[in-house]
Amino acid sequence: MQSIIKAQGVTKLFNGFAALNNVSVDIPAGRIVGLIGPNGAGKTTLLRCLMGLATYDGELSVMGENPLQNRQKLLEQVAYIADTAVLPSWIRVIQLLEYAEGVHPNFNRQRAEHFLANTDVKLNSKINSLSKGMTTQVHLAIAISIDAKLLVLDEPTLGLDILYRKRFYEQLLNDFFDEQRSILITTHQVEEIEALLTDLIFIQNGKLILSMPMEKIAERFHQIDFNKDQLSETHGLRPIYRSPILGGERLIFENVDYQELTAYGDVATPSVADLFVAKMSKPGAIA
Amino acid sequence: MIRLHTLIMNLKREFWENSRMVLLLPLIVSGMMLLAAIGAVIYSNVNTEVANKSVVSVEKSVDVATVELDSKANKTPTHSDKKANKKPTNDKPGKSDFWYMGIYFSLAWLVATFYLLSSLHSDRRDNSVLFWKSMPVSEWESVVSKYLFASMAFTFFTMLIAWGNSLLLYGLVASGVSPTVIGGDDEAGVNFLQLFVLPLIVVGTTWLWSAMWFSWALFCSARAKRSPILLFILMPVLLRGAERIITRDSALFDFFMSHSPWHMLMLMSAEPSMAELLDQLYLENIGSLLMSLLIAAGLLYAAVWHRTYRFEKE
Repeated sequence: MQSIIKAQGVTKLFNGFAALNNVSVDIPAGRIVGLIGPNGAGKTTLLRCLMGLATYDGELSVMGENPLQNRQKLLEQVAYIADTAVLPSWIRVIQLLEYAEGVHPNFNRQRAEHFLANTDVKLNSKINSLSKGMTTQVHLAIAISIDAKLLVLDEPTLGLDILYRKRFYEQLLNDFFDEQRSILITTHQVEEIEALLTDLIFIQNGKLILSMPMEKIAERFHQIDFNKDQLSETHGLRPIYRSPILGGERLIFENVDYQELTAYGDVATPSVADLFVAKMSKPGAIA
Repeated sequence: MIRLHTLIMNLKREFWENSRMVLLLPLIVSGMMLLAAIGAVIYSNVNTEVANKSVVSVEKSVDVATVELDSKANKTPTHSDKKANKKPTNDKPGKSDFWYMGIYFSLAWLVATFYLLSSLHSDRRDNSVLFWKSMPVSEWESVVSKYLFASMAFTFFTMLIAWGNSLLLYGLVASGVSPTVIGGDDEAGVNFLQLFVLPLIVVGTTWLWSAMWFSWALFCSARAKRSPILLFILMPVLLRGAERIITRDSALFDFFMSHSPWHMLMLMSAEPSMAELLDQLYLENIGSLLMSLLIAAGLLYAAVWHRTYRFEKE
């Protein structure tokens, strides 16, 4: 399948500090990829490199284009929501739509207006008069009305309440995603996007520490809940992470044979949130 | 590199953002002038003895011609011709004529300078630069549209308002005080050439002559981390200080200041005709003009560079 994003040894230095350190990744079309990492891990820097908004060392290709050399052409095929707060506060919604229609060859204004007609946003409203949730809906309306092959979302639901967050992701799936389109999303609310994701990428200190499809996650990572009486049996096992639960401990394993683990109890696939904490911690760490 | 339809859309965007600033300030000035004129008319009607003086005053204020196009303007005078043909002081446009448009233009240039100082900087401060950068618009298109809007459109909109106000004042004079004003008296009537053509020449000439000034403001906006206005003022002052110490003169500083739009205004007040002003700007000072245009192009390039890379460090 054709790659939407292909990075090879991408490095980004800020005054000697490596915000991205030799990042290599290959994302095919038709995927929803979660880019997860703690604050300062390099998520936004990576997205900015992908969008041609920051210089980098290494090889990077997005939709077959070099982001730095062909940013303008790239942006005709890629929609980008940097943050909910980036829409200019002085502008009216209708002016935003007119501007997008004027400068973007693949923007469908009718689609955006149709989308906004189902929200509380008035076209004549100024952005600074809208709530944060409404502003996000305006931005989403613009993004999904671009006939883009890739949608890049950087913390799109930051600061939104749960109702708006849930609605945001529903609209994203219903109105944008199909097999020909890809979504790359960063967020801290990993639980909310877990069900959407087809691929998962963990980043820490500028390095990718995990990059794989969700179905592979289930093959590679397992978790078992042990009660206090069973804990003595776990000494021979090598979990990558242990966390306390009511009446016992939860152990997460990587590359341990599934059949071997079934002898100890019910084996499950860890949630993305648990896996994230496990991978961000040192091997065998105890919470 | 720059697509016309994107440029026009960007200019429209600039107007949306700054429509209040562009329109409100000249309208306030116009309102004050109108009020003053109405006051003068009322006063003149009440007091017959002083009526003629008031009419003259109002007529003077609405005669927007800053310079006259006499027959000499059709030929290009040499420097010696110019000196020989220089008219006596009373042949220059009246002070009220000059300052009428001068007030409008000064206001437009001041607003344009402040607009340029804040334009790229405020985009970065409120992060809206990320939205604009998510659109398929090149940095050159963004920067050039801001530059053109400030250096040309601001002055042009102000001039439109000044024209409208002139016509209102003429109407006021014609209907309220002196029926012979319009078309009756060459000196006080509507001179369409002076009213509509000469200000356009001033706008175009200032755009060229002060390109360095406006580009410097835009560069400061792109470069400054905290205060573009401080950078805008501080650097020329430091330059002057350094020049004083090293060369004991201020040639570079004077060169910079001579390309401020207000310097144009000073030249206009000193030169007896537009032809002589253009002669001085485009013939006698062609080297200075070309040098300033070159520097302006360099500053615009630097502003684009900073627009491209500056924000990622903040």
